[in-house]
Amino acid sequence: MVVVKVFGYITDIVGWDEKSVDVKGEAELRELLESIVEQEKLVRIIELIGKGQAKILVNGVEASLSTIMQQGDEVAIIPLPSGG
Amino acid sequence: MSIKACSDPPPFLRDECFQGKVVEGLSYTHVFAALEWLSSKTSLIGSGGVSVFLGFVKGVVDNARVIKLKYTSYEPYASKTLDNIAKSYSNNPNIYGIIILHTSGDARPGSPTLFVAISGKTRKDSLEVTREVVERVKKEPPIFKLEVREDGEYWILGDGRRVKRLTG
Repeated sequence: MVVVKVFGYITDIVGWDEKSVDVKGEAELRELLESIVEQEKLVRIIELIGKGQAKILVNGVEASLSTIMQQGDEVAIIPLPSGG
Repeated sequence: MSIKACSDPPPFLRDECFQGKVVEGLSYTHVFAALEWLSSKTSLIGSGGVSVFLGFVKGVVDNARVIKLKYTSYEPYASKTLDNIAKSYSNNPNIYGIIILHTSGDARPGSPTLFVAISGKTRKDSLEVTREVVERVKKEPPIFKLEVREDGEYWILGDGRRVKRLTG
């Protein structure tokens, strides 16, 4: 399984904060996200990433949509941090 | 003279002079214990002062009463980032210790959200590093906040802008 976590206002875009996905063989992150995020919502997230207002992390490291996913990976979609 | 400066920490800290972490429900008990410990322990290695930044929840924003802030942190990465920020100053000979504590979960107005304490050789050293550390803490760790107000719920973005929540 791959766990996908969503944080901050991006949870409002997708409508959930965590999902698990079964990955068979090699799959790109884009394919994995397409299986759990509606297309228009994914487009919006990709736009935010393009503007530097969001990031995708895989196991805590910034990743791209072409990153190859493996069983046990953890994905996080995060907006800009707002600590303090 | 060889002294293990930061021994016998409060239970929520480690025996290290440079450390940071997320604390669920950060309280003034945590803050005062960390401040007293850092001050007393780094005095043993020559420090004469600690600069402190304490962030807490605003009670009023845009003329609306704030009920609470809801903090979410992505662990273990948020705590690791705070710890790395603190440790990144450990080679500075004029800085003797740094404690960074950030809350997670719900926080009411007046509750502490961020505690940064810098023990330094001089006030100039510690004050300058305090300003720098606070700016880094606002931008680097994956920590997110939702402001719950009497007029709705607002996500607080990284640049301080507020966006009204679409749901909830």
